[in-house]
Order: sequence, then C-alpha cells, then structure tokens
Amino acid sequence: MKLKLFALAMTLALPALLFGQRGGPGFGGRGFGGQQSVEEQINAAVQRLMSMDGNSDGVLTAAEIADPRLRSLMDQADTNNDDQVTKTELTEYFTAKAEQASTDGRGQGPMGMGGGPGMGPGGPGAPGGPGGPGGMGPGGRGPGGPMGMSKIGEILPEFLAAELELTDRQKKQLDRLQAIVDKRLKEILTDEQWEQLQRPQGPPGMHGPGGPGGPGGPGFGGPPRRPEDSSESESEAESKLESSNETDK
Amino acid sequence: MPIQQRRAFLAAMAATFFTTKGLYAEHLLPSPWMTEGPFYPDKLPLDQDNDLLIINDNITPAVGEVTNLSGRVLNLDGKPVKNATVEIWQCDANQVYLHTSDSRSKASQLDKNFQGFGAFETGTDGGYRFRTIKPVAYPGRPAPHIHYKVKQNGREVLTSQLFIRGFENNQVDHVYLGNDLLNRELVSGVFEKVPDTAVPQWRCQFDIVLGKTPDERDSGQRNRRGPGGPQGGSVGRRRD
Repeated sequence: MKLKLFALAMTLALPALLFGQRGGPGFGGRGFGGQQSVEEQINAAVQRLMSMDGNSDGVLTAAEIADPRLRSLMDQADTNNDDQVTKTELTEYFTAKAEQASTDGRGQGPMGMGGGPGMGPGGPGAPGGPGGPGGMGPGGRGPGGPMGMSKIGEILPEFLAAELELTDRQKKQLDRLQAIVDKRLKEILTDEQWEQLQRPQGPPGMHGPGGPGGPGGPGFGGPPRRPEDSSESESEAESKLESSNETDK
Repeated sequence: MPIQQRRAFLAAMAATFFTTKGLYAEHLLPSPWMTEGPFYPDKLPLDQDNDLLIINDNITPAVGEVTNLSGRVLNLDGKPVKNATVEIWQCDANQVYLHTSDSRSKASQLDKNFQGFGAFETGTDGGYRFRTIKPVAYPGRPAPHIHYKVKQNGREVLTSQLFIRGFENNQVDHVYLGNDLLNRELVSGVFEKVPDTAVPQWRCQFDIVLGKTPDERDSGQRNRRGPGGPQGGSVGRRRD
C-alpha cells in the first residue's frame, strides 16, 4: 500500500523533478508533494469518521453514523455487508477514492488551455488556485508528458515553440502576446500571488498552487487530449475568477 | 386515556425518541464552504421563486432534465434550522450562467426560459425544495454542480456547491478535488432517477449542515458581497 502510493507519487513527481521547472499546478495541491500526502489525507478522513465511534469498539454502526449524507459511503465501504464499517474498510474505501481521483485526473487538465499548436492566443493560462484544503490537484497534465512542464501563464513553452519552428516574425508576435498575458495575469493576481508564482516550485513540500491545472495540454508523444467542452475563454473565465476567488478567502 | 394525559405521554415519547436519536446526532459534519465562483447573479432576477424551470407565468419551461432538489438545513446537532434562506444558482442546459459576464458573450446560447437562480426560506422543519434542471458541466468545470448559499437574517452563513454523487468527471474537477476526501462525500448528493417518466427526471435529497458559527472560513472576505439578501423579488414563493 505504502509502496504503491509512493510509486504513484514518484511517477507524478518525476517529470517535475527532471525538468526542474515549476511543478504544474496539477501536482501542486497538497496532494502530491504538498503539505499532506495522499496517505495522510486518507488517514485524516478515516480518523474523522472514527471519531463518531461512540462506544469506541472500533466499528461504526448505522446508529453511530446519523448523518444521512454519509449513507452512501457507509454502504459502499461495507464490503462484507455486515452493516458496520471498520477502520480497514474505511481505509480501503478512501484509498480507492484517492486513487480514482489521481488516475482520472491524469492527463486531463480541466483548466488546461488545450495546449499545442492550434490553440488560440487565449490570454493568460489559468493560474493555479491556492490549493483547496487537502486537495489533490486534478492534474493539469499527464505525468507521461514531462515535456509539458512549463511556466505558469506561458503561452507556448519553449520546447514547443522550438518544435514548431516559428518564424522570426511569429516569435516576435508571440513575445508580444506573452507580454500581454503576463501583464494581465499580473493585474488579476495580487502582488503576493504573483510573487508566489515566480518562486520556483519544486514538487515536494511546496505550497503548490492547487487544484486547477495550469497551462494544460498534452506533451508530445500522445494524442492531444483537450479539455472537454473546451471553449478557452470561458474556461478561463471561470477558472480565473474562481481561482482568484479562492485566493480571496 | 384522557386527552391531556395522552398528550403528555406523546410528548414524553417524542422527547425520548429525540434524545435517543440525538445520542450521536451532534456528530453531524458541517457542510464545507466552497468557492462562490464568479457567477453569482450580478442582477438577481425578478422571479426568484423555487421553480427555476418556469419564469413568471411563461408557458415554455427551461431546457434540461427536470430535477426535484430538496433537503433540510440542519445544525450540527441535527436540528432543523428554520427561516434560513437557501439560494441556488447554476448554469442553464447550454452552459450559460445568469451573469452578464457570462451571458453577454453567449446571448444566442442562453436558455431564456431558465431562471438560473432561486431562493427558498425554510420552515420549522428546516426543509427546502427546488425544481430545477439537472446540473451540467461548464467549460473548465467538468463536474456538473449547483451553487448554493444559506443566509440567516440576510447574513451569509454558508456558500458551497452540490455535486452529483459518483459522476465520473468529479474526479477531474479542481473545485471538487479541492475538498478533502471526507468533504467530497458531504458535497455529493445522490441523483435518483424518477421511475416511469417519459423523459428523464431526477430527484436529489441533500441535507445542508451549518457549522457552529458562520465564521468557519479562514479569514476575511466573508462579507465581500455585503450582507444584503436578494433585492426585491419574492423569496421562497412556493410553486409546488
């Protein structure tokens, strides 16, 4: 179990380690390389539930879980159908949930900009939010695409620009666009947030900008997976605003 | 049994029942605060009743799958909270919010028949009820969700979101994943398909539990919007 999680964390952290750039906000969160490991998150959830074990017998019964919102959890966690839930069952339940989140989150950056050629000059990349409580970033990009690690707000990562063999004119245009993006991103963020983005963000132990994946998009070597229903400006609108909202709090 | 005695007996029964049930009831977990998002209506609609499918007396209903959303507002002891105003808002079936920064650029996309926002004041049972559409994903938000706020005396005591339990794309939604593992349970409501309907209809029973104080949020910004409730309009006018 431990080993598995460690392996998973490593898989996710590796690209960032290799490329030494800012970790994609997808990994940011406190999930991986954040303040709380997945295992800690699982334990925290289990502990919080086990605190409802009124008679301290190590199992939770339906009577002890009066909260109707936890009924589905109780049903699903109760794998041996004895109408009670043990610490082990809860741990298994949350482990499955945590893994679901991290695997499903891979490679599909909901906030991503679609990435790669053909993406419109879409304004600032969604800055990672400040990280929800204990969230595991949904993974702005797949861990398989190490090339994808790029600076937050960077429209075309350098390697990608190189790959495209842009003309000088295009490069200039791109620089101009990047300047606008940087400026606008800076306007949206508070000085403190801006500074936070400028700090190198290695994966471990950093207060990575959480949830929303940053400049998303596939790395090379895989079929591009665009964020679903990708209408960039809209997705940005919500992500931008929601991120800034979260930051506000 | 004389009626007086009978009443006393029933009251005692009720009290016993309540305290027994209440043994663990103080363990209700507070519904977590979640981001309000950018699209709390900037102009609240005139019609703010709890039926979001029909605006005023229009005949054409909103596009989308009918959903009956109901539940109770409770405190941590599991007791109903009365006179709390529950407000909900969500994008229409075409992914447009009732907010000019969203709808301006999507005028043609907007479902003019969707109310987009509704309010309901709880009674003594703490219950609330809405008729709305099943939430849909929004660009950048792969998890369908309904935003909600609870206000008491015009003061915001909770802002959060409701998700469809088990919906696959919850797992890639940064706002959903911003919750810790347990809170993800608390923000997910079961959407049950109503049997035997010609077109899909849903119901969702979703209880909201208010924390001890409205001050659970880390810091400031609580009153960013100011304490004022919805201006004008009829809050909680029932349309059952």
